[in-house]
Amino acid sequence: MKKLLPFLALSLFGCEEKKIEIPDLSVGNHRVLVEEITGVRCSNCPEGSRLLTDLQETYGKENLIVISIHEAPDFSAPYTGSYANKYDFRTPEGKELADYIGVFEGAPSAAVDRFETPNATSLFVVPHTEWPGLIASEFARDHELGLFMTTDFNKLERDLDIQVNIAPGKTLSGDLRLMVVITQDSIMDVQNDDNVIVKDYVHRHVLRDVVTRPSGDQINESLTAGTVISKNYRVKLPEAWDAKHCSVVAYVHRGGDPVKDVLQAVEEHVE
Amino acid sequence: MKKLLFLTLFAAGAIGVSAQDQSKITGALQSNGNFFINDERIVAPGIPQYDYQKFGAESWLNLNYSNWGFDMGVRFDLFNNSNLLNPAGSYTNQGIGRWFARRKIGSLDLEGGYIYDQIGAGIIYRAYEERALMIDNALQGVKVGYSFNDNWHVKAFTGRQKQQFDLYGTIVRGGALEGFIKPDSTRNLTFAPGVGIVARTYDDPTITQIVNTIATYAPQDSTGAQYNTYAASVYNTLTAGKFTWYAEGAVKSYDVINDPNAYSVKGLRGKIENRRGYTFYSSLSYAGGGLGVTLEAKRTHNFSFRHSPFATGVQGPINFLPPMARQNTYRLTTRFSPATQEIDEQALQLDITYKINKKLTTGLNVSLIQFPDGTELYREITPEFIWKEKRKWQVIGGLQILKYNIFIYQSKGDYVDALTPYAEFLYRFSSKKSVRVEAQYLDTDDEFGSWINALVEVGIAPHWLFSVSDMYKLRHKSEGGVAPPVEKTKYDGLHFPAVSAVYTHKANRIALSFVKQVEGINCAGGICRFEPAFSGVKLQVSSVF
Repeated sequence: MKKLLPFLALSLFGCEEKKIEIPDLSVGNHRVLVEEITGVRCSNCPEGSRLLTDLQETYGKENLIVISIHEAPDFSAPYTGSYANKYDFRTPEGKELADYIGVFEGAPSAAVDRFETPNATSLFVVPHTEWPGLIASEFARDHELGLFMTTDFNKLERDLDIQVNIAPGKTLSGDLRLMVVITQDSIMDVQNDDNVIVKDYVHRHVLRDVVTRPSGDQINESLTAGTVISKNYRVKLPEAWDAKHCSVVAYVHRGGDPVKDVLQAVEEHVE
Repeated sequence: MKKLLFLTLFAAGAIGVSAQDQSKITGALQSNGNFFINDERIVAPGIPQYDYQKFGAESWLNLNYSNWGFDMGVRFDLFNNSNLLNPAGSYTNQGIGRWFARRKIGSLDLEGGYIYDQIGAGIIYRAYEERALMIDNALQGVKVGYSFNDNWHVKAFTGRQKQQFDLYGTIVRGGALEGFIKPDSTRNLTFAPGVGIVARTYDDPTITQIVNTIATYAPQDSTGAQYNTYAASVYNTLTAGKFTWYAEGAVKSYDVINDPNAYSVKGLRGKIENRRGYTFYSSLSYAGGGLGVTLEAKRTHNFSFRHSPFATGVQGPINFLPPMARQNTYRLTTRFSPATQEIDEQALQLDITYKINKKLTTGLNVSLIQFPDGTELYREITPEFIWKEKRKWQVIGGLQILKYNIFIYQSKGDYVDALTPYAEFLYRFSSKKSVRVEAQYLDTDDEFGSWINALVEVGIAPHWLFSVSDMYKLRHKSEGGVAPPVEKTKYDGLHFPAVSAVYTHKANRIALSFVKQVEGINCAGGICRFEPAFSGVKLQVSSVF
């Protein structure tokens, strides 16, 4: 027995391992999209939003694109009474979009390029401390898909024309879909922040409208290297939306279940 | 291929059952069927079972076969539109959930397949199944045990733990040496010492995820990482006369863990850190002369031990930290249950029962759980009495005095202060017929406010059990003409009834119930998760053969 124990201990513990190097941050051709689930009554959600804002400062807003979908079940209905919300950020399309992406498993919760992590039970990732690593990994991916967008906003009529150009660098096959949504930034309204009701909370990247189908418009054209596919949309921005804080986000994603990876994303300001 | 080979062996063995005197087949079936009936007043929209699926089921069928010195087993698992994995989601899959083969050759004990096991109280390693929470982290691997004599045994194991029908990438290996010492055969003094070690090696994707996360941190928050983490524990059960003392101390080497409450230098809450940890747990019991006393103490520091630092809740546990609160059974006394805190927790629990005479037994349970800085997490004080009038009737009465940090446990509000008096009356009309009535009143201004619950259960032995219950949400009153916020009053005036019939025949049980159940926390052994409200019919079948 005395001989066996040291052998057992050695075989279990082994020797000292080689030090793991922490890599430098890098951004490639692939822009990363984060679809965050939030709600005005969700006390933990602002922590996730702050993290995303911080990561946008790290990577650049043009590289890390965020959409905040106010569809956290039980946490998104506007407050009423003395601290009532001015706005109801919920929309039927937002709900459909959230349901399409995956199951809500807690807050803060977000899908990072809708990438399915190993052993995950939803594309919405909890806890939020996992997001930075996933975002960094997504920047390392490159689907060789160019996505370009131009917008033209008629202030008088409030008509917004959107043109999205899809330019694959290699042949892409399968069920690919285009999503176009409108977001509004810097909206001041009530929010439960860490269990404190904050009246002048600044809401970021709020999903206002889904221009395409919430599950994406199928791209029927073949995506071969060198081709450019153009898609045009026109929407009327409601008066209540401050155009100078509105953006259009377009992205191409797979249409499978559960594989819904976002291959490329782009964001343009309305004004 | 391996599964096919095993099933073939299993079938071959089974065919030969009648021919083999020593062969034995045993088994068990557990099936749950849930029929979902939408009730917009209590069920949140968007849950697929209520919206369109309407039915969900889970089933587990075990078959065990013993012959030729072998023990073999296989379990078929089925989940159809099940809400067990994620109470707000739908999960469908089926297949072989477990198989194993074990052979004892003299002093050697060999086992392969999906293995359930634990070391000590489970603080450094526990592979177990808790179906109510969808925990099944059996180790798919091999285990070798060796008995030096009747009292000393050593075991070693390695493998990967399962997650549903998949495996975690992480590799676990470990071992333990356990013994039994009785120094003096004339005295009731025994020792059951043990020592265990477990090592976990992260797989490459997990390490990539960790280093990519650390790369986004400010230099001040940057922390190292490693593939391997080691945990060791020493434990002993001392029995001396009427006393039993269990003590276990465990340490863990550097491990990248998720601390949801740690702040970064940028002021962001929640980050991963590379920390060492320890846990100490002890339980001292006395039983004799009508008095039973158990005192438990636990201190946990950075003892999250999982397959990934990003696995939370019921996902990816390698170990099990003993819970430190009373196992309540009534509907309202279980409403606020504490989840075990892995990062930091200190807790004491005292449980006393004293039989004053043949009729009257009194009891007191005190549970205190805190963060080490003194932040109170859970405090429960429950005095209780049991009055037994021969075998004819029995009364149980008690009062739960509770303080519950609902912000830490459920991320809402701050504290719940609640008083819950409860009573139970059992009357036996005859040796076969009985009636049991229970009632609780949960008095609180916090969370949704006060509740009342009552249940009547009629037993017709040995086969039937019928029960009817209702949990009612008392309405809030406006104070000074100001109505309370809607999130507090959302269940005001609502009934949550349940009606059930249970038929038992030998080891077979069929239960059919209509249930409306309010949202809340579901806990088993200190592991908890939020469960949304339920409305529908449940059919449960269990059988052991």
